[in-house]
Amino acid sequence: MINMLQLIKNFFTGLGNIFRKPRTVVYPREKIIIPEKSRGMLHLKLDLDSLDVLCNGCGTCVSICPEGAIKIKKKTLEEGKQVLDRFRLDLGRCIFCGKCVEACELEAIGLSYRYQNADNHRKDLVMEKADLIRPSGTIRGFWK
Amino acid sequence: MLFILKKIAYVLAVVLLNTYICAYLGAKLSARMELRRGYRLTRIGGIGFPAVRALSCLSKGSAAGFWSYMVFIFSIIIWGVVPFTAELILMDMGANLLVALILLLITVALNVTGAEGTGYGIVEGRIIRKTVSVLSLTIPYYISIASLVLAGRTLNLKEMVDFQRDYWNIVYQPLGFVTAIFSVIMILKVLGLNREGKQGLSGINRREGPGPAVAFFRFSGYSVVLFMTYLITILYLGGYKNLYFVRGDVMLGIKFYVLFIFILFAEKALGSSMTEAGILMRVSGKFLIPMSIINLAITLGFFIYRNIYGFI
Amino acid sequence: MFEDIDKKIYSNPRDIYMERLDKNLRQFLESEAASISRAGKDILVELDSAGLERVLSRLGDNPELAVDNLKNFKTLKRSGESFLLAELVAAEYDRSIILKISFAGRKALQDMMGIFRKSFGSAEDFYPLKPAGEEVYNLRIPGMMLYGCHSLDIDLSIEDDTIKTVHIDRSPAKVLGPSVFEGLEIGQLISYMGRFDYNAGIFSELAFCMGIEEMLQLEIPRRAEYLRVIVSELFRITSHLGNLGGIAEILGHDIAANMIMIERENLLGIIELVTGARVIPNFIRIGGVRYRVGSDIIKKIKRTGNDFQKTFGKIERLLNNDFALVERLRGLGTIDRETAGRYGLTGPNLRASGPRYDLRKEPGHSIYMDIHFTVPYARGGSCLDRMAVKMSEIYQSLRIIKQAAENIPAGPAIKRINLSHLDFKPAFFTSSVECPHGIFKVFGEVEENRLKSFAVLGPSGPALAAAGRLLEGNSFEDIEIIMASLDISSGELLDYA
Repeated sequence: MINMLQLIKNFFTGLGNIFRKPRTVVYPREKIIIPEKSRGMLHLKLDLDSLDVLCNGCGTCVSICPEGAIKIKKKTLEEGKQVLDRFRLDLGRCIFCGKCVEACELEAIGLSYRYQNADNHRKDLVMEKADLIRPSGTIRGFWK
Repeated sequence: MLFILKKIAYVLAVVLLNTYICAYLGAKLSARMELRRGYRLTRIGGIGFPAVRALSCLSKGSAAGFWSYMVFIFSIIIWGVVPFTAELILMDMGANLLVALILLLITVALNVTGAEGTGYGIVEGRIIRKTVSVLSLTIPYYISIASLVLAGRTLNLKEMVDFQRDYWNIVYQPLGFVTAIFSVIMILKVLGLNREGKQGLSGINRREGPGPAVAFFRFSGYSVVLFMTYLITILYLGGYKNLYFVRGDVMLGIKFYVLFIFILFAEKALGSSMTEAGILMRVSGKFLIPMSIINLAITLGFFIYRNIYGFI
Repeated sequence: MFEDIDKKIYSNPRDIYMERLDKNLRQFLESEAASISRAGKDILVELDSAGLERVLSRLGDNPELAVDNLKNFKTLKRSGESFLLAELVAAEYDRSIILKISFAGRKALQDMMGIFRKSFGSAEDFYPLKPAGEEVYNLRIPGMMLYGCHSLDIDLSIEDDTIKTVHIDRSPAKVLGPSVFEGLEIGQLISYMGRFDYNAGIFSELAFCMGIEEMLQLEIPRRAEYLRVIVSELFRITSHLGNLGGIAEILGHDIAANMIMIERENLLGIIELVTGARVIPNFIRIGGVRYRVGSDIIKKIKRTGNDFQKTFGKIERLLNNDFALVERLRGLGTIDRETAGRYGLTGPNLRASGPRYDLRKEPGHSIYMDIHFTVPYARGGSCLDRMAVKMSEIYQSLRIIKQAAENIPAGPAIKRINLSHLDFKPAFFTSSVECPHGIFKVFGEVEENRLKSFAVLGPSGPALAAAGRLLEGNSFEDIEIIMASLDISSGELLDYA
């Protein structure tokens, strides 16, 4: 009636498990390396020669965002070139879907690996252009 | 007067310290067997967690009912009648095994009936079924002890320990030992001491409102299981006898903890929860009680053979 | 060249039958109904609540139809009006009609339920009334207490440890509000679609995109089809594993529950490599898939599948050799074949009771025609049979993944289409996929690039209605196990009216 062989196997499985390393990760002290295609906070890519943002403020990402989290203000320089003046992302509304990245024709924005974005007040969640250009956001091993 | 107070203090210290260590081991080892880490409330591997848990329950302030105080008192009294060494015993009576067994029965019955009210309404059929099934699990334990009493012809625990001078009782009655351990494992599984915090209907098992009542019932649950294990150690494994050069009480501690850890592992290995009353009755009715009755019959046979024929 | 030849030469038997049914219904119901049209692979009949009784009696008189089972009910709201969607299927599950009835007020809804109850026995269980007196029920289990019913309040009346009457209240289940679809274009909506099922989020996205593609008659590149199949089967395995782990934990088998969760972690890691997330994958787009997954990831999928097959044998033996588990689950919560048909159950709940119906075997449904796999079934209908069917399905899914990963063709993974330039005429669409809980059906209305209304006819609705009847007569301790084995997911239970 009671399957003795299975009980003995269970007993030794349990006994063996004590000497193995546990499979849980104690989060704030140890972290795991997050996977490659993870979607974190937005980041603005920089042109490598002039160290200026690639974005020219066309506004495609504003119209495609389902939540309306991006707000852009652009200005025109003397030569007639259009550059970005202000880029504001409301993290409280962003759902990290990545449609803005797909829609951008210049490939000027991307989703970085920054996932520890919690804060105490809602107004601190509004990110301006300077907050979005952190270089550490794209290094996978940094967010460990 | 001072002498009695000193004895009471010793006994209480021993009991509380060992209950603390066993509570810690219970949670930690069952977590490691599932490849989890267990409690980490304080820094050094969570050593302080039983104290933290008990104090947080006690401080929540709602009044504990009459049942919980009774259970708490009984679960401390039962430790008073068993000997810890040849001198350390609180109430020295002639037939202290009988008294211990009766008090154990009362504590088990109080624990199971008291703890089974849900806060959302009392499910009476559930209480009755659980009580009957737990009590039916103590029957094979008592029958095994009865066959020991028959072989040793004494009801005093100290004389039982002295009786095991040459060989431990497990050599004479292996079947009784197995039955007794199995019933302790099943009682541990039914009381569910290591599954607190899991979701489900077992989560609404105890009375609503944390408070001293929860701490008392948990303490009495541990106390019952540890007491039954301790009785097995004394009666079958030689108690506090010296083993060559190792001191008596150290030997007692080693035997007790080895047995307790084995019971913990076996409870986990038993797999799915047999707390449903139908399965419990089937296991105890078809498996445990017949084994203990066979053991009793064999002992009775030897007893008659020895006494009437004058052999052995 | 010869790959799609069976799609191009032989037409789907269901399409032929739908044309016949269309002509037939126009004769019978032309005068009663407001309009009869085709929506996806179903026929949609729109009518008013006053004419419901006559329509039902006409449908009963129709000899060609034989639609005698009621599958699902859903309410739908659209800018001030309320509609009730009723899906009727035949006993062989190959023909279905959707009735769209407009009504006003909760009292009208209950009257309509009464009318439905005369022809279909199970109608009232979908929107059960709570009796007015409070003394009937004497125990209440709130949501989040039991595994598997995270957003349902259960009211019970218990007498001597047996359950007499049950009322399951599903008003706490809210996933999205009704106004989230207003003002959004279809291209923006796809990111929200993965929220309807938290165990396997890809099936709702798949259903939505397949519905729009069917309206546009868009053909997807073959590599995209293979990738969709691989990710769907991976999600199916993880969902079944989650359910098995939950049942093992309820029954107290902690070692098995944790082993299952550890294996599930490995598979979720593979899903993260492919799509980027675990719960809301956001992977399917209209016209294909989002990423063109490279060949090194495909090799990793093959290797993980092989490793998992060895460990899952151990888990299966752990659960099947445990006598207490088998004894507890045998004969518990039995659904026999007629009851399963009457309530319109689908998925493993149905296959454990007898009928061997699986939507993946329908001709023309993605590329499953090119892959060899069998559909497991059982005859008992108890909790043990449902568990066994799920375990067999895990093996079959592994087989599908292995074949798909070996034969995946090269090519593009998406056919780009700019949705902002499209203007749809007002039309309805439906589409269904086979998700791990059952058949997931989606119903929507588009009008010039926006979604006007949307409803999900998920498999948990019938399962919940059946649960209300199943629980009566069982003891109090068995509630948790029965509800967990029916695999109810609360994301699909949203009602808008």
